Amino acid sequence: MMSMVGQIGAGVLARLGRAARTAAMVWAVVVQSLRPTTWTAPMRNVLARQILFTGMEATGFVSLIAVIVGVLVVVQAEYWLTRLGQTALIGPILTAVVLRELGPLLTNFVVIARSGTAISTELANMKVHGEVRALDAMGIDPFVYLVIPRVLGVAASTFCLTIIFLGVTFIGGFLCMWVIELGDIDMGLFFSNIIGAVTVTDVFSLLAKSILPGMLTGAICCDEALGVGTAVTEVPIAATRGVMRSVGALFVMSLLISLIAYL
Amino acid sequence: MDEKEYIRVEAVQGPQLGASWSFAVPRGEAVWIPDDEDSGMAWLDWLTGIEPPPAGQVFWKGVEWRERHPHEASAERGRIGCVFAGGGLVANLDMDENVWLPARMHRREGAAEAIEQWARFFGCWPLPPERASAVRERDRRRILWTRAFSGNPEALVLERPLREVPAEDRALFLKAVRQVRAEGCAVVWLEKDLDAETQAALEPLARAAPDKD
Repeated sequence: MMSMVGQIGAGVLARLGRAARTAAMVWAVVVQSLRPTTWTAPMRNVLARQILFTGMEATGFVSLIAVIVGVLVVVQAEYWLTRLGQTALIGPILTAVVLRELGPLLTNFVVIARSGTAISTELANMKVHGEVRALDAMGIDPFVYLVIPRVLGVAASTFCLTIIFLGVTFIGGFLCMWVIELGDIDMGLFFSNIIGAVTVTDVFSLLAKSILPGMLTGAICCDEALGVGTAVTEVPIAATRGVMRSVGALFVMSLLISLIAYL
Repeated sequence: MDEKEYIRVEAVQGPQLGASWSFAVPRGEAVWIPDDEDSGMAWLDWLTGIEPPPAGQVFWKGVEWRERHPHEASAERGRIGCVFAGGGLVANLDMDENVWLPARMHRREGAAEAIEQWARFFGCWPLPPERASAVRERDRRRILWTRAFSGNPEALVLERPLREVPAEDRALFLKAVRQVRAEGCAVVWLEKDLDAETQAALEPLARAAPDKD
């Protein structure tokens, strides 16, 4: 019995230790990025490439998901609100469902699936093939050159993608409504309903839910990747662990922010 | 501590904790460490301070690596040129970016001239704007050498630098080593066996050996 309790305790402690290390990494990224000496030309180059890959190249896919989500939410809202005679609430419902929860959550999912795996695999391969060791030996801090631009790049991209997601979802939702109502819908009223439902808390919640999980995704995937040894077989394990931990962190962070913001 | 000593190793022991090693590499001198790559002795990592040895101390210019602040340690490592036995080039950068990387990270002045000079010396100018996988092994070695020598290094740590290298390139490399030694660069050569020709080219050459109890 005691050994089982001990094992559970050891597991909890290990998870807490990993969470503390990730938090420390994110904090170190913030502190280091405030130092002007961190912003060397190669570091900025890596940051630009990360934003290009995580942000720009994901725009199309995120937009597609956003259109589908917009249509799904509007169809369901229209179906239920018509029965209740409350169709004017479509705007506020879109805001509540998409802006507060679905938008940041789904965008982060896309980022984790695309960039989390890519970061883990790339850095783990670099570690296995001695590239990280070479950087370190040349006096190039792998944290500055590899980790900081990835964490900042993923966070900035996630925020921008979330804004794109929301914009496309609302436009997609409006077009869906327009089709359902056979053109009998006031665009100004639809969007003013949405904007009117947005509160200051929503804005801060959106910022936190897009930037913090993005930073955590970058930090977790870098942490897992740079923790591999010398065997190539460790690379897919690091990628899987990075993605799973990022998803877990995303849900925990979203839950915490929602609890803090709306309770 | 002698001011002319760039590297000092004191009572360093490997993972198996056999005999300890103590030696110094003064300015302009060369030391050969008969390093068996299966021995678990990560000499390059220890000498450049990226990993501490299991036992003992490694000093760079009189200060033990662990006593330096991480930023200071990184800056000091930038003064050491390294040739790695395996890899050493960043796969997702082009070859010219690989050579430029340490110069840009350490914001070295006059880097363009030094890089061009050494790339011409080793016969790899202009630097190929291609990934490592698209470049011949021989050119990869030359590019590694260019990167190590072009930072105006105060010390060179060479990990089996001439493995499977053609004779003409060997001569060029040894000439480059003699040239930087004459300018005061300390050289550490890591290789299990060093042939007589290479030893002669590196004279005067001290051989590091385990301490006698």
